[in-house]
Amino acid sequence: MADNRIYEPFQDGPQPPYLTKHYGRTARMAPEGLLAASPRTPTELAGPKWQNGPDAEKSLVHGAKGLALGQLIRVVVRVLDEDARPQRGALVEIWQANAAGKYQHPVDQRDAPLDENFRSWGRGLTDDQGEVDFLTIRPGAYPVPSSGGWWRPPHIHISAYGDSISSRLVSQIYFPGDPLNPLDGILQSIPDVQARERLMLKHDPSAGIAELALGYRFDLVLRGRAATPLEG
Amino acid sequence: MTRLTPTPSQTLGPFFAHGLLRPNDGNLAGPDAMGERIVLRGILRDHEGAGVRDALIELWQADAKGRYPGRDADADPAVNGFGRTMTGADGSFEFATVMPGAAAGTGNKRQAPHFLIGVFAAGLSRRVTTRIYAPDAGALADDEVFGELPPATRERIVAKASGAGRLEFEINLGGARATPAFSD
Repeated sequence: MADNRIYEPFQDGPQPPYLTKHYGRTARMAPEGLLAASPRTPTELAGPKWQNGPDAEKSLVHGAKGLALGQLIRVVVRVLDEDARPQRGALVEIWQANAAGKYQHPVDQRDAPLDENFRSWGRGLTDDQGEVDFLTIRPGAYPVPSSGGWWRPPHIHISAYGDSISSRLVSQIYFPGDPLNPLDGILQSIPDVQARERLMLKHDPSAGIAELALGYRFDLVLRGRAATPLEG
Repeated sequence: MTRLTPTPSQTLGPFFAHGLLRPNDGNLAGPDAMGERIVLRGILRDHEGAGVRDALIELWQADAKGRYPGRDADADPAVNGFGRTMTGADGSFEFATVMPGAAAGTGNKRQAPHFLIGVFAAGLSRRVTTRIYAPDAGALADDEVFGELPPATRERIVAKASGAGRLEFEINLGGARATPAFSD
C-alpha cells in the first residue's frame, strides 16, 4: 500500500515532451486535452501485483536448435525508487530486435533475416536487491521506413511496474558510444543531456558470464518517494 | 539523503505485442468474480480522427465493492484489477471485466465507479492517462476528481451504455472533442 507515497508529475526536460520536433510522429499524437497533474486518490496509489514466471523467460537466446546469433550480453536491471530503495517484486519486461535489426513482428516488413533461436522478449520479477537479469544479444540497428535516412540505434525496449500504477514506466535503453545515438530522434527528444545519459547501459565485467556473455548494468528509477524523508 | 531522478520515458514503439501481451490479458474477471459482468469497448483516435492501431491500452479498476487488489485485504480474489490489450486496425479495443464499485477516495469520501486508462503508442513520448466513469449521474455529482474537471469537457469521459452489459467510450488525442487527460 502506497498511501503515504509522493508521485510528482513528470517535467519536460528530464522527460521528453509529448510534442517534439525530434520525433515527427508526435505531431498527430500529443494529447491536446491535457489537464494539470493526475489526481492521487487511492485509485492511483494502488497497482497490480505480479507472480514470478519460469526462469526461462529471462533468457532470450536459448533456442530449440542452439544459441541465438550475435553478441551475447547479460543485462542486470536494478529497479529503484526516488529514495534509491530497491523495488522488490517489480515486473520488468523487455523486447528488442535480433542481431540483424529485425523484429519478430508482422509490422516489420524489412528484408533482413529472422533468427529461429532468438526469442524477442523476456520478463522477470526483481529480487530482494531490486534486481532482475536477462541473457540476450546486442540488437542490430535498423532503418526507419520512409524517414529520409533515420536509423534507430541498437536499443532494448523496457517496461516496468513498481509499487503503484503511478510508478508505471515504459522506456528504451541504449549502448554507450554508439554513433547513431546522437542522431536518434527518439533519444534526442529528451531535452536534458544528463537525462539521456541515464538511458545508457553501463558495461560491467562483473555482470557478465565468463567466455559467454558481456556484462551490462542498468539502474531503472521509478517515480515515487516516501512522503517523510528517510534518515541518512 | 540520496534523491534520484526518475528514468526518462521513451515511446512504446510499434513492436511490443510479443513482449507484453498474452492471450487473456484483456480479461480482468475470473469465473467466480462477484458483480455485473461487462464488456468495456473503446476507440483511440489521433488528431485527425483516424483510429490509432497497435497502441497499448492498460486498465486499472476496483472490484464490484470498490476494493483494489493489493491494497484492500478483502478484495475479490477473482478480480485481477489490471488488464492490458492492444488496438486493432481501426483503433478499437475491448476488455471483459466487472462493473467496479465505489472505491475509497481521499479522507472519508467515496469515488464514483470509474476505470483508470493508460495509453502507450508510437508517437507518444510518455503515457497518457485518463479516467472513464460509469454513467451514474448521482455518483458523479459527488466525485472529488470529476467535480474538479472542466464542466465543458468532462462529459467526454463518461462511458455510454450500448446495450445490456456493454459500455463504450472514445479517447480522442486531439481535435474538437479531445479527451480530458492527465499528464504523466
